[in-house]
Amino acid sequence: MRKPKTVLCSIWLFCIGLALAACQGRFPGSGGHPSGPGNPGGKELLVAAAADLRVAMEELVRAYQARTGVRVTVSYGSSGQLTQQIENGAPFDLFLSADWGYIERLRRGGHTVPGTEGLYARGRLALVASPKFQKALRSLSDLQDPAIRHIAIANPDHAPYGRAARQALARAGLWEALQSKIVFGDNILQTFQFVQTGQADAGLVALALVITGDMPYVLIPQELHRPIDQGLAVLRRTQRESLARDFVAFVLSAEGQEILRRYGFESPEG
Amino acid sequence: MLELEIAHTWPDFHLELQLTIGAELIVLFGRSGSGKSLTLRTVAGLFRPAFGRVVLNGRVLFDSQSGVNLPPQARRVGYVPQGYALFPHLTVFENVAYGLRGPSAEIHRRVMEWLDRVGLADLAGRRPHQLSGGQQQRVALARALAIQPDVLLLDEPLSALDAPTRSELQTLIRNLQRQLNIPILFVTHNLAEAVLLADRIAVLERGRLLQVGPPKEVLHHPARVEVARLVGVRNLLRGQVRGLDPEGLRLLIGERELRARPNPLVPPLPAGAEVLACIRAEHIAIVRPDRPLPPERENLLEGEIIGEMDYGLARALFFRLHGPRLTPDRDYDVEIEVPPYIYERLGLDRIRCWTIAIRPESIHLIPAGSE
Amino acid sequence: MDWFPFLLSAQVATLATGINLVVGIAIGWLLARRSFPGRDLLGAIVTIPLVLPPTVLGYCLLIALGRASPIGQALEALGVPLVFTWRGAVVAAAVSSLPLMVQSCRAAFEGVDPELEQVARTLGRSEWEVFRTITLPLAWRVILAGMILSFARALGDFGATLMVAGNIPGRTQTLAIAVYDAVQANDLTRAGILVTILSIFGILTLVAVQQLGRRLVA
Repeated sequence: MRKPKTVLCSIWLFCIGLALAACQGRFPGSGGHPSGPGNPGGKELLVAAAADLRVAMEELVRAYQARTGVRVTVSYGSSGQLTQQIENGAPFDLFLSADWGYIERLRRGGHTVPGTEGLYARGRLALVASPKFQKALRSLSDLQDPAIRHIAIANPDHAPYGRAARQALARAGLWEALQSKIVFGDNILQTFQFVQTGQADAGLVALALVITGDMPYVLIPQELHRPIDQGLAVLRRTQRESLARDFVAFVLSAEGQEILRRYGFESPEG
Repeated sequence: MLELEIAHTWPDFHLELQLTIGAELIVLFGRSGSGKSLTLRTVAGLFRPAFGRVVLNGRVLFDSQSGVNLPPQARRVGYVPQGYALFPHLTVFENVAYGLRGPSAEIHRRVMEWLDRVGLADLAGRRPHQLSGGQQQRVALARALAIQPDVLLLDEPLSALDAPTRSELQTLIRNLQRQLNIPILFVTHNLAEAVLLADRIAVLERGRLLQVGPPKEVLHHPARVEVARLVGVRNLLRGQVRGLDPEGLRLLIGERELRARPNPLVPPLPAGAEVLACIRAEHIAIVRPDRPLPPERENLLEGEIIGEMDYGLARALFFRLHGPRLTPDRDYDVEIEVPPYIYERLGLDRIRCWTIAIRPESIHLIPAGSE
Repeated sequence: MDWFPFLLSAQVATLATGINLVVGIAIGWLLARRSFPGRDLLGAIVTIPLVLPPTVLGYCLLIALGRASPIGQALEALGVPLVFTWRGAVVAAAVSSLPLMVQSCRAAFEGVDPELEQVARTLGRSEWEVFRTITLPLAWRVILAGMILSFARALGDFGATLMVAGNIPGRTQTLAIAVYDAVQANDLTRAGILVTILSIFGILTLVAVQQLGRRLVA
């Protein structure tokens, strides 16, 4: 048995060595630049985006990169969590939220660059059935079928698609009746996964999530819920404001909007 | 020389004692929980009493009044706790060397010298778990003494050992004391061991010192009834002093009169004084009919054996007097201890009626009320 | 296959464990060997990260160390911000796994017979020497087991790290967050690979701890 002191000491030294090395900033992944949100000269953007934008964002980023050569790194999360992080100093250049309300909150808190807040898309709600569920669903009232035991929607308390789902069900007069079958997903992606994996027989999810897949879906009429206005803003912390504005312009441009449309988002109105 | 004063109170226990110890082996003797270990730990600096003083060879180690409290590191005491507390991850050599400083050659020399002295020179590379109990004890002793302490504190060092090993170590400790000429505080609850090793015995009971003195004195002249019980006096008889005449003290015990010798060390007991007569069971002789004993020099009592207990190495006989009783309120009067050979020789299993003899000198008196 | 999360997680977990080793030994020793007013409180505070939901823990750290806090602003002024950097990941991982380390260290020190330390003192050695030569050598195996467990926990931390460091690919995306991200992106292949590696490491860790445990008894 080696002397215990040597083992402990060597572990210690290893940690200290790492700590010292790391403090120099010579750390894998920071790509050689100091670990602050700086490097204003380099062509890079850090974007915070709502989770449901994932697929659409990937294509937007690809297109933008092809066009300008700017590398865009996207950090996905729930809009609520991202908002909290931004309020506490997260180093994002801009924020694409799933809900206008969060942009408003950031604007009031002084975290946005004034004038850059705006709508970039409107989300739509879709009804979808789990692959394991035999019957086809044609409308919301089909959810009353006793064969459907669990219906997944996003949590109406903090997810915009959840709010819309509740509104739609209420407008259709089904909210009370279906209460016992409703299951909340923490965010719209998780909600969709409930349905995908068959844990829920059906669900109300973002159109963006099903439009490119092969699961049959039914588009919920816009009249049944308040519009899901998705907003964005350039964040005050950015040190690449012009670059950020440029990306925003791209998202709002014809090309950007076309990509968004392909992934289930409609143009914003107003 | 070690001067010791301790006073400390807990909710259910009070420790208070004063002791001055020279270059001698003093045994702290008493039952479990009487405060013996606490006393050692106070000297070692591992326990801090609310009040007290510890002065070793003129150095004040602890004084509650002036706030002096030297840490154990500075006291130069050799401490061997119960269980020896050998460092399990170090070898015998490293254990003994632990408290030593200086050039390694010097340390090596000293350690080997001590290992030699305790007879373990060829086990220097072993680990404690590879040693027997007796060997571990020797290592603990060597370790404590290698630092040349001013006092040696041993807490029940031999309690866990078998008889032959115990014997060897008792000899070793006695020799060490003579060679080193430092005070040794030796804690034990074994009376035979205490008597064997001690220059003086300090009897501790429930946190108080009951008696301090040479073994013979404590054994044969216990100052209080608790001490008498602790040192194994089995006959504690209530009585009264009748008077003093040229032949000695006359005692009335129960319904009988016995003769005792006055103790020159204590003030004479007046007539009428209530006393407790202590008679050791070993001091009562059974009179052989063919070898009568003179009644002027003995208390002769007739009676019979009504019960016995066999301890293997000795037998206890419960003896009841014919005629006037010493202890009328119970079935036997005295307990007698005889070695097996006497039991067999006299045929005590068959012949039960005997005369017993108690020398007046064997009756030790404790004034009643000093309980 | 982007290997950044592996490297980042390895380094974050190592650093976090290194920090926790020092803090854990200090606090564990205090709790084991000293009594003082507030000792139980200290023990409870150190255990809180086990009790709190990870996102709540992360949120608390964010509030305490983020740009809006005095500490955060001071750090930013010094040029070493914590939140949303790999340093934040280290802090989140360290705080999340600290209870494991403290418990282990405390148990390790409690397992050392105080009598040995007492005797060492009477033999003239200073408090630090007693700690170095008696307490630590006898405690190190349990501490090491705690270190390994703490490392595994730090490696797998998700909720707190996500809040404090964020999910920034190539910067703060640790292994655990990468798994989550891959699942969110429906990239189940990538998720599967990451999970397998993480699981293998977890199993290796537990096997190592058990082996250590056996050697302890022997």
